[in-house]
Amino acid sequence: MTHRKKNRLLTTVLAAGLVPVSAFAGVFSLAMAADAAVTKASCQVNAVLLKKEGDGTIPPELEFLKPTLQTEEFENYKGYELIERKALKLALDTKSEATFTIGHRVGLTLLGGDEARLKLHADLSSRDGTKSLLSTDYSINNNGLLMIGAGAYSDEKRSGKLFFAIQCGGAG
Amino acid sequence: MSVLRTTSAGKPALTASASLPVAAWLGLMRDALGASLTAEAARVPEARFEQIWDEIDRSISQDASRPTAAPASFWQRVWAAFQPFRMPALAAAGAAAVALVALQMGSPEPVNEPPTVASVPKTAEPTPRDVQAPAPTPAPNPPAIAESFPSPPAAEAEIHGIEFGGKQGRISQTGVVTVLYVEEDTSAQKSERSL
Repeated sequence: MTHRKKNRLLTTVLAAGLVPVSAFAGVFSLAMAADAAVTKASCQVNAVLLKKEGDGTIPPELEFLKPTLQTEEFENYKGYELIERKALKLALDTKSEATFTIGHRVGLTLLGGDEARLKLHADLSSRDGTKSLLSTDYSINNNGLLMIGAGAYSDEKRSGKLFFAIQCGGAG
Repeated sequence: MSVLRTTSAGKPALTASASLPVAAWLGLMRDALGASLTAEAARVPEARFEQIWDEIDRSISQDASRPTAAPASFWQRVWAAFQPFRMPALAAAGAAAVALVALQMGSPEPVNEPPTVASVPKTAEPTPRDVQAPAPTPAPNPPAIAESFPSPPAAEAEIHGIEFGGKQGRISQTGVVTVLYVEEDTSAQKSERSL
């Protein structure tokens, strides 16, 4: 009789302790999953040539830039051409680099962030690769766009202003 | 012994001396019955008490005769008390393990591709040496990449630090996107080429 009472008491005490601990662990796990730090990211870097001449038609491969290209900042440009597109997979604190056929190198490093916002480092080299034109640390919304205007560009077939559009999306 | 006396009405009446034996007999019977019932009533709690006592003795003797009568250890008692929660706890642990594995498993694609992969031109023809080497990761198809990225949200970047290495540089915030302008100093390159 007394032994059973002790068992029941012990069971009740264990249950009373187990339930809040389990609830706390569940809530804590969900919170940790929601605020999980980003450890890798996928990026695409587009080398885009913007020209004063053109009919204003945005090609399908640059459709994702339409809201950007239609802002006042780019209203002087009427021709749009994708020169090259590179994909980069980023790991935390490790630099990944893409070399374009036109000579520029774009380096990206994931510095941190969460699922809502990424912290990145970007650098851009000169066309001959000997100098750094830009080195910056920035934070941006997940899948947000950063544009880098690299000045005038011309070759045998085309001429205009060269821009690099960098878009990154994080993953846990 | 009984004496018949005449009442004032002239009727004979049974006097006390005449009715004494009957009353005494009835009294004796009542007393005997009362005593019997009292004794019976007194024996009931005694019997009940003896029954309870016998039950206690029986349980004590059973406890004493058990081979596992030795007191269990603390952990055995805890384990026994935990018995109702074993299956739910195991199920919860299994679910937690599955959730952790699912969280830890990321994209199956390799991360941090070597720069040489990203720098390979799309039109480059593989040399025999490249064919003999381990197959590199194929260059991703641009339309597929564009499809994998959603439309960028209208959000400006927050610049934490910046260094311009060219001729000039500036930052422009349009409200939709942040544009960093750099201008390559081509005059130095021209002078180097002339040398």
